[in-house]
Amino acid sequence: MNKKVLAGIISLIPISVFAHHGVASLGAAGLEGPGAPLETSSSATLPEGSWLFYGKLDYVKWKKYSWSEFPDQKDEYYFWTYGIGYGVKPYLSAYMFIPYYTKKEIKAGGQYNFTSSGFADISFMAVLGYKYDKGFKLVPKKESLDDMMDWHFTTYFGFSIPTGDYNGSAVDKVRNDFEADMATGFGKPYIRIGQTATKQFVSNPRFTILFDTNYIKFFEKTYSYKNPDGSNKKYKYGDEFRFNTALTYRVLTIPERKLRLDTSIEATYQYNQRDKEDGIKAEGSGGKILYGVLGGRLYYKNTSLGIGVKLPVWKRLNEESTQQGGEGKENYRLIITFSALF
Amino acid sequence: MKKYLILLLFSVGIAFSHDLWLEKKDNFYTLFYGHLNPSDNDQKSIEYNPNSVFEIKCFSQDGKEKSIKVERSYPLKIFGKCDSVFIGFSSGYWTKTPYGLKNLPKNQVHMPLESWKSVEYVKRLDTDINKPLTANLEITPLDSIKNVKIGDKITFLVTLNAKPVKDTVVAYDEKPIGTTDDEGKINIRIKRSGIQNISTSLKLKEVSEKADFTIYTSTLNFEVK
Repeated sequence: MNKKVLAGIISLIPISVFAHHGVASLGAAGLEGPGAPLETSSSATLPEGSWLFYGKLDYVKWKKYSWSEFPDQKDEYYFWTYGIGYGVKPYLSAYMFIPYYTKKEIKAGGQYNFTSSGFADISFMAVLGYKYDKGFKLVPKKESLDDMMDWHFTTYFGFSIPTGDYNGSAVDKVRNDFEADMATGFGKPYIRIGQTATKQFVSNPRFTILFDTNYIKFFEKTYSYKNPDGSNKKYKYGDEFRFNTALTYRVLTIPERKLRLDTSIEATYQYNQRDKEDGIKAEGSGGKILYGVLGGRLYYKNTSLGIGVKLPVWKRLNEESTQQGGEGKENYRLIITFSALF
Repeated sequence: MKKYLILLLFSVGIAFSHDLWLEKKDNFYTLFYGHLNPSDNDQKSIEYNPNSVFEIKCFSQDGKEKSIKVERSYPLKIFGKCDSVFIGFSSGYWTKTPYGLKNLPKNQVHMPLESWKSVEYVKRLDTDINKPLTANLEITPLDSIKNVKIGDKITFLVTLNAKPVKDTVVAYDEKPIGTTDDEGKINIRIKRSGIQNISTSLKLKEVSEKADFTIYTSTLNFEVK
């Protein structure tokens, strides 16, 4: 029975989608507006009446250990996320995300692979944007480049619906092993609340600093998988708390080509509660991780392409020696995002 | 709307290519044309024909016109005690041709491609006057300009015929900062001391044998210590 955390699934729930539209959406003005990192959500909202199309790959390569110690080891995960956003008001944006996951595990000392793949849980999110300019106010329809340098904030709320295959994808049918972290769905909705703050430096507008914190709440789900005593398996993923901060730097702007290049450095702290299996706190799950992310983003007209590498730089996992394939045990994560605004 | 903004920001660059500004010394004002803050290759002041100035007004703080004395030589000088000075300036008609740009109306050149009349205004404020003074294209600060400091943000109103002009690009030191909102307002942060150079431009179609349109440019000057 695998009791590891639901490695990586949450990490790609696309809070970071907000990080992508802020500049690309604003065209010439955006060529000098606030920057947007890869993982930390920015405080930009979508222009009223505009549509954002978004795609992201979070590729995870897990650290491997000796087969004698770990006969079953997570190998690599592909977290694809497709999204669409709409600017309901200048201060209110709505998003829908459709994830597709592929997870590969090498089992029995390399004798066979267990791969689960499929669409995961569709999620929705609403983002309320406001700013501080002689008092707090909702983001107005129009802002000058100087207005964009004010402190901007968003409060966001999201939830999922359990459209992914949580039952079939969680079971290795070769050995009838239940592995919650191989599922492509949670089986129950989760909810998320978050808060961002963004400031472009007035003294040097090439720099933007960003803060983003959020909390995700999960609920227990009963699976069709049967325990040895005949009861149905119950599993609850540990709630997650994140605090992210980022600094972006505008390296290059070519207005006549409507092109901009940014680099970003991020520190993302993550606290995962223990999972609960059949109502009992699961061993080998949960912990605290600090990731570092180095990346860049290229803007061209109304599109942006971001690429970065995310590495765990510090961790205190609850049972670190048993948590192969859990968050904090990545070799690396490769993040690629693309967004276009119309 | 955002696409429109992009086009505007790129298309109006030419309209902000030269500045008109008013310097105050003792009891007179001097009108200059060129680049208020020249880059390495720019000449600060360019000689102009004083007869290009077609309107000169001096206002008191309550918006009433005051009499002045004008010295019509280069550079133009205005003598008087004004809380605001307003100047209208036109370099005339300009026409693009296959042979280059001519300072003539289109009915006086061979093979005209595109032509326009250039009309520029500059308003200098030396005290707070928070309403438009003329019916021309004009920029008015809605916040106090007294004791303003570098880094402060001021709301400006763009008007034509004393009515707000929306979606027009406003520049600070020739650099576009954004477009006005539905109420003709835009916020701009003061970035340096000295004479402030805030400008906007409008291109209006003209039904005439001389030009296809008129480009109106308006600049606001005030001093920050």
